[in-house]
Amino acid sequence: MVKLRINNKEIIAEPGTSVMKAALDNGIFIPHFCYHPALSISGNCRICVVSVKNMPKPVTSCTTAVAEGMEVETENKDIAAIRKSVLEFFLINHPIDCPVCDQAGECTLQDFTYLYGSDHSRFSEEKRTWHTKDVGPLVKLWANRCVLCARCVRFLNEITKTGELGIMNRGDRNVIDTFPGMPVDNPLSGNIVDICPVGALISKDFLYQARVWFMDFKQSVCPMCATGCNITAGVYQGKIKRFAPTKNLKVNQYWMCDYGRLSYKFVHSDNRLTAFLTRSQAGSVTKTTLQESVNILKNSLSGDTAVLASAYMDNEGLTALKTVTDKYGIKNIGCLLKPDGKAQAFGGGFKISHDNNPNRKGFENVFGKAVLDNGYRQVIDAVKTGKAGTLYVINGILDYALPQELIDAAGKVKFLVVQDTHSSALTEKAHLVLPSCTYAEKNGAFTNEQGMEQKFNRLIDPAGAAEPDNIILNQL
Amino acid sequence: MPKTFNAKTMEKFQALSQRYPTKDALLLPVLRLAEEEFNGIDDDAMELVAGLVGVPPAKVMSVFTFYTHYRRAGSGKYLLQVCSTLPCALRGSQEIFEHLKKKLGIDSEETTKDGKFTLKKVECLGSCGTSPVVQINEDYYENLTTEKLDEILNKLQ
Amino acid sequence: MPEKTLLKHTDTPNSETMDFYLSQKGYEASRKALTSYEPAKLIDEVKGSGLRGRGGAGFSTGMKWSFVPKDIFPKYLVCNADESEPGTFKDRALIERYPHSVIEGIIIACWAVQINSAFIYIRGEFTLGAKKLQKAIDEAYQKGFLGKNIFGSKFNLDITVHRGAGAYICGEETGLLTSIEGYRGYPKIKPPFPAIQGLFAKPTVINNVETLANLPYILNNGAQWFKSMGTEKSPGPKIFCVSGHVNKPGLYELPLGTPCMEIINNYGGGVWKNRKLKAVIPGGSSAPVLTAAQAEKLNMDYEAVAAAGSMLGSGGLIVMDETVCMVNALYNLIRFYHHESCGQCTPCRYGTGWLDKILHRMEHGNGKQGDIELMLNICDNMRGKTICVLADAAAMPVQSFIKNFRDEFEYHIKEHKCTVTI
Ligand SMILES: Cc1cc2nc3c(=O)[nH]c(=O)nc-3n(C[C@H](O)[C@H](O)[C@H](O)COP(=O)(O)O)c2cc1C
Ligand code: SF4
Ligand code: SF4
Ligand code: SF4
Ligand code: FES
Repeated sequence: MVKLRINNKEIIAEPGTSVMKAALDNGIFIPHFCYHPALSISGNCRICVVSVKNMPKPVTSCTTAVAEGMEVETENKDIAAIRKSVLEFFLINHPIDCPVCDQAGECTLQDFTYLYGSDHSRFSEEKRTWHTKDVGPLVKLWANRCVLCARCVRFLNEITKTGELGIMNRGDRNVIDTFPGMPVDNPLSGNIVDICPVGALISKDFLYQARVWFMDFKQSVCPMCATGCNITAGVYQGKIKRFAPTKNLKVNQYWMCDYGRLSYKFVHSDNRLTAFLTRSQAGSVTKTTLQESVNILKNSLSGDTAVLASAYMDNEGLTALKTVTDKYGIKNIGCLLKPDGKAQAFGGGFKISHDNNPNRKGFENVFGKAVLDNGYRQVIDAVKTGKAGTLYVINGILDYALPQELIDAAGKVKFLVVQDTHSSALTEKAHLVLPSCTYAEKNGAFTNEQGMEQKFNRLIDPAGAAEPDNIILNQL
Repeated sequence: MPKTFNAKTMEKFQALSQRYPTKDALLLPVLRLAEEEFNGIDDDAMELVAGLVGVPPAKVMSVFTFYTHYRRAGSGKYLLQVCSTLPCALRGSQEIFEHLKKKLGIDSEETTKDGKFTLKKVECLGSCGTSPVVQINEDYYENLTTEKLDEILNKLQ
Repeated sequence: MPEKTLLKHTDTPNSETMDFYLSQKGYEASRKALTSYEPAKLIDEVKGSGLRGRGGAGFSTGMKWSFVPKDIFPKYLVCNADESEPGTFKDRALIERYPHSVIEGIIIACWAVQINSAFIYIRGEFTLGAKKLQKAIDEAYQKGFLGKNIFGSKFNLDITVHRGAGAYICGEETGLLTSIEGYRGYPKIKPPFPAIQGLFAKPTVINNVETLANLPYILNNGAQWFKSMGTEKSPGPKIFCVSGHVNKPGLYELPLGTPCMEIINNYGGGVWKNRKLKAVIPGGSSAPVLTAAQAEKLNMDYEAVAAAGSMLGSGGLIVMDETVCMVNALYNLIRFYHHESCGQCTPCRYGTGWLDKILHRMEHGNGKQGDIELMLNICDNMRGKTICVLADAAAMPVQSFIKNFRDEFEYHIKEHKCTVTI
């Protein structure tokens, strides 16, 4: 290990670490555009200069390795002057269109210019201008705003290895572009929007949706697969406007997939269940209350009840369910799983899990492996053969149509109870429907495929009368 | 239209593959092969090169557009590259350029209607001792005067 | 004229052939190196000769070789034949007219550093040169001077000609390496230096064509012979490239330390059209410009040119007579650097473009008060703040032109026209 001082603070770093990384890891911020901890070092932006004792001039901290006894200063007059000049260079061709730029408020160029920049321009020549265009299904490029940090290019070369973007031309004609007819279209494309330090790469999904300074930011966990990416949700006027990854080196590093990124739309979809409903034998539907529903449910649960619970339920819901099944002596329990997909691995170790359920591990922890593996079959068989009086389905799987065999079998039971987030062929048949909250509307936790329990926070108010699974279950 | 290399070029490509330890390193020489066979490089040629070398087409394009000496598709039969950097400029390269411009009726980076000539102002050709210099396709023409240039152009068919 | 070494035969017909080269003791030096020199001893011999790199930086060649780690394989040698510095055209003559001397130099260097694979990076425009080189290399393979077990020894050596494609920055040694590796010619961050981690991340020696071409003569004639020419710190012959306003522009091989005016007057035939000398750029376009008065006292060796505030660089001597408008000349040079900046570093990418735009405006009569100070400040903001020294190479002309000819810039701004008219 190497001992050095940054701003007089003693720091211990691994040999070979850059001064930049050593500083950032120890809570000392050094301005940077091109440096990204998960990408190769490019050293192109030149703003990350620091002073090192006994070096003749300031050096870029992202390209300078720590050394024993090194004394680094990250702020002084010389450094500020260099940063000011770098920012001036960036701005000579920049359109300075912050009022209509989606990045405004979270733009590195804005922030650093505010800190170090000049309040007037010495550039009186004509600016060079470039294209604004779609570069992929999710991403639009404003090339005029680009600072050519090459983060996007490095991401696509090193992480997805798809290489759809390149820097074209030379010198100040350099510009980011795709090859004609080959857009940025890969499962992680949205990440280039996050790592673009300016408003050059913009999410088409988020475009003109909300000013970032009017949004609330809350931490959550993506429920769309067992990776369990940590995410930051941007909420505006009670609606989720965007998801972005939260750094977690053990789980998702700095990334999330596009599918997860857009999955907030499921929370806001039109077919959310918003009321407690009962359906008579004749088929007429009546609105009811949580209390009334709980009473009905209590009367219909017994030893011959079958329960199907999904691996989209959070640990709180599953634990509450276990108490209920124990209390009523329910033996016929099965797990409702979204079918597996294909695992996808990327550069740097990021993975999209083959397991499309956020909490299979949590289910296993509560009900055991036998129930997880065989329960579903047993329940379906019991229902088909008329052995189950009541079928209680607690679903909540997002972006999924329940299996036809379940829907068919469910018609056979005397009393069908469905607790779900969205209406479905099953809720159309149910005698009692309980609207439940998605992960976005409650606090809870999932256990991801690595067995890590990850808490998520309530982001928005529940849809209508929807309640968290555990709140309902705890009353039974 | 997707392009392919003919057998002879493919042979050269195979020979090149032996000389470099990485596939990426083949990119510049293979672009030369494409330039030679197709007399200029367009998007289809870049796609072909990308496939052969095994890199994304955007990478080929970013490399191709960095280097100014590759012949762009659509260039005239004769590419007239007029050196315009200081040592040539001191000895009349501007006059040479203006002469060509007037004579051919085209500006830099333009091609005559008959597709015969493309004119291009370029930077130092490394022939400052014999300036002014024009590179026509592969060949250097040195110590030029407008008269000499006229003679040369007349010989180009 | 002193006796020529490097250029002795470049005007002789057929000088590029193997037969001719063999008639001039060709490949004796390399044979001698392989048979009677331990690599370490060879490095010492070259160190002892005082040979300094002819590509621009003037770094000791033997010293550079000695930095290469012995125990890492493969290692590479790259011969820098990118020759793109405006005012420089010496390597082209060696390659086209005497390519075997370069190949033999490569063999000697590769033996000294124990390298089995060499590349010659030749600028794309030199089509003829590439062909001649390839032909000479083919001949050398046939003779058994290249390939497996060269000169009957256990030593193998391959040479590959790699053509550039129009990018000055690929003359910068690390830009050159990225270019061979198949990328945009972006210079690399140093350290690591190429001697430790160069081409394909392996230890790499990069030497200029002229540097390598000196080696056969050093081995044939000895380090002492080499040191008998030039000055103590800048020994040996140097090819000076004389261009611009002289009667006889061309290549002149002279000992280092030859006075600038002697080169211009005795060899270059004097300033043309009986005009007066106004300025010289002594070492290729990146070297700071000097006034006629400074040129009068200038000796052309590394130390003396540096002491005069410029650089010997590649030995490209650009001569300007009294009719030259210095604003116009500088504008031309900055247009070059603007065109050639690779664009990866912010200050160089935008600085070169900004300077170009200001000078364009000034040259077209639209200079403004404050432009001079602005340009100088832009140069300050570029120099020493980038990955490679192209930013400095672009800034130095601006700073020196303004320093030495400020009145012309001021006149342009005030009067919206030139002081000189031809
Ligand atoms: C912008 C730039 C351009 C250069 N161009 C050339 C060149 O065209 N030819 C060359 O030999 N060296 C050139 N050099 C110098 C090389 O980087 C390197 O120092 C040289 O090839 C080393 O060889 P030497 O030690 O034999 O001189 C250039 C350097 C810079 C910074
Ligand atoms: S688009 Fe964004 S990420 Fe890509 S180079 Fe430009 S500023 Fe950097
Ligand atoms: S990888 Fe999985 S957890 Fe991560 S964002 Fe995608 S679907 Fe969500
Ligand atoms: S200084 Fe200029 S030429 Fe050199 S690496 Fe930076 S941008 Fe490229
Ligand atoms: S962060 Fe160091 S140069 Fe960009």
